[in-house]
Amino acid sequence: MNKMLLPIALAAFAGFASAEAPAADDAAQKEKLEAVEGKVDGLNESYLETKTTVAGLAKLKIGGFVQFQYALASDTNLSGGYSQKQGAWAMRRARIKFTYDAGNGAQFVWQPNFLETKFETKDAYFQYTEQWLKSIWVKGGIQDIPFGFEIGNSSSGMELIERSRYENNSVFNGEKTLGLVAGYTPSELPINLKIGWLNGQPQQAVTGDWSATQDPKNFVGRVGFTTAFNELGLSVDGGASYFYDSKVLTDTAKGGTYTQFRNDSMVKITSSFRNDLKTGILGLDLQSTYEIPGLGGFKLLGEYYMGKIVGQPGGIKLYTGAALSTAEIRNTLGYNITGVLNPVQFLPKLQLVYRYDYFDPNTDVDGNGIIKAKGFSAADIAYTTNTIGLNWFVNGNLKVSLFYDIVSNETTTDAALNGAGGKTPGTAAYTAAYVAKNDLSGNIDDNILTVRAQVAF
Amino acid sequence: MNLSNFKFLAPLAAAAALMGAASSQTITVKGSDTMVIMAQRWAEAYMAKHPGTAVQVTGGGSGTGISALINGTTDICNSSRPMKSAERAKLKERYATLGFEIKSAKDGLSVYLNDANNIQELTLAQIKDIYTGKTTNWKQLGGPDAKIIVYGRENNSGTYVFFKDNVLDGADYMPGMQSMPGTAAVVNAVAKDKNGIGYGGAAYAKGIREAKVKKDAGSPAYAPTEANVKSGVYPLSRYLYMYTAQRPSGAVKEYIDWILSSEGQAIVTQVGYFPAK
Repeated sequence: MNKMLLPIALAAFAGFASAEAPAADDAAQKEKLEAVEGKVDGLNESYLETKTTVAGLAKLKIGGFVQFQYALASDTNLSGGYSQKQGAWAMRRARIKFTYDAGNGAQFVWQPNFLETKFETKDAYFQYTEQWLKSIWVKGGIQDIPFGFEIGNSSSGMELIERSRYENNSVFNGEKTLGLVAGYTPSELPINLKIGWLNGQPQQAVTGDWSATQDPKNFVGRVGFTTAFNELGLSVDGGASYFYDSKVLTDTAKGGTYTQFRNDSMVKITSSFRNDLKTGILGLDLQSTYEIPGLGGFKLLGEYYMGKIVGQPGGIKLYTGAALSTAEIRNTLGYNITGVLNPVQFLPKLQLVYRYDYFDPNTDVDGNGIIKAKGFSAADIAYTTNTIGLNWFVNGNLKVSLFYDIVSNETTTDAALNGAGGKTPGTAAYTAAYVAKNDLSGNIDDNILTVRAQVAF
Repeated sequence: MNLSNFKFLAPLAAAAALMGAASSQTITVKGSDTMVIMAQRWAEAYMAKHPGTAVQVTGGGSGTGISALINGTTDICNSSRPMKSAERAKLKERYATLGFEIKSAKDGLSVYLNDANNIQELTLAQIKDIYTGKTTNWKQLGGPDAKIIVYGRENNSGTYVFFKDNVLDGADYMPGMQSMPGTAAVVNAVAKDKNGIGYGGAAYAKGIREAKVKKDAGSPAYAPTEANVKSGVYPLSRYLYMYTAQRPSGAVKEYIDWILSSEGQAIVTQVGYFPAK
């Protein structure tokens, strides 16, 4: 009997044991599952934290470019002290632009430009765009002067490798300023508007009656329009700008002394009338693109500048001197026209460029009237520059440019002005070689060939 | 000036001219992930009929495609959103052209819900509140007491931008949104997550349910059907675009003409989108 019951007892035990085993397995699996779930939750938490950090970093955009070039001048010295026909390598520009999009229409921009031994800030501003219409914005800080078309064009995106002579030799040199600019750029309307209230020249120490009425500010504005006829492949944009420049006399005396064209001479004038130093520049610009069927895109750009400029002695660049008593005032004129052909259908990576550029820093005097004895200098000579060029867009990052500038200058027969760098006839520095390179009685051979590589990211 | 000084540059100029020369009969297409399946079907069908032409299709997102168009590394860009004015300006700066826009198909940008979700319809404001993080629980919308799991796309996606512009009114997405690499991934995630919500093209809506959408609380709700999308009553109707840097010509023109033909548009329907006209 016992022998008969043993298998049954064993079978019963086995049945009990098998009933207990799944319960134990379930508990273990549940425990494991909870552990895995905990790990997944932890990873998910960590992922969301990382994602928030990455999303924050994604708001920061970094771009930049480096321009490296070799320039070969014909007879005139290259800048930097390199002698004629020697040629020179140069790091023309090296910039990094940091743009942080904080959301809700707020943006911050910083763009340093790296030089060989230091760096300078090209842009440092905030921009806020209102979020209702998204068409009105304000920009505060170091930024482009809101004038014309050329100034606002990035150096990396321009078809030409250098800006126009008027821009490079006037108050617009460097393109940047410090101030507050407001804009209206509606997406629904073909117009746009920019108004800037900018710092003028740095305030100097002032005594006397002038201090009560000083206002060294610049006001700049541009009204623009934009039209596109998509069916025709045609667009026409343009605008009119005005740069109002207000300066103050800083002499301790009530009257400042400055030089201005009067009659046929640049003469020193002592004046107590502050209004004499309120000047302005008018600008007109036009940009048109047209897609030539079967060939590619053609662009025509034109810009016109006219106005009175107060500059430092010897030119009309931005005045940075300590006292305006040594300022010079000139009526100026400049215009340029640029044609750009992109033969997309045949040579999609190439771009052909031509520009005619005229610049007269003193429209009140011409040619032989530019006489040193009457106060004029090489700064009164007008220039015409014909530029032909080729851009090769090797890939999305690399652009190689080949440009040739043919420069012609206004001439004068005044021997005293020849040797325009200011060397005095009869001195040791006034050598025959010097005169040959600076002889304003004829066209100075200062054509220049430039090969440039630009890498942008 | 003695030009002989510059003789060494002649080979450089010649090389530039040669290397800038246009390439062969290969058409490259890049851009929208929303459109990538449709674009591949177009390419396959076209190449079968035109053995001399190769069409290479890649995705990457609308933003990536537009950048490639500006950089000259693609012939055609697919985009599930219109090109921005800043992008057009770059195209104009580089090529002196205005770009050429082709409306290749229509889509009803769909709001995906899990099959188990009892929510039937949502207003644009409700969707915005979900995606900006103001509404976080289905209970607030009449559903179960459960946290809403929000799925979306990555920021190089045209759908991401379209949704942000047209539903969120430009506001930022909530930080907790799970960004998926493609619409198929969004659909897959919502199909497996009963508390999930996502968005994407109508063609991908398989295994999930599309919510009816209404402009506001007082408006009728519409599903993203062909009739509703074509008539424009569905609030999130949109075109799917193709862009070229200039007016199409040669092989590219022939390919685009074929896409707009009844044969090309039939593929649009097969894939799940709607014909452009």
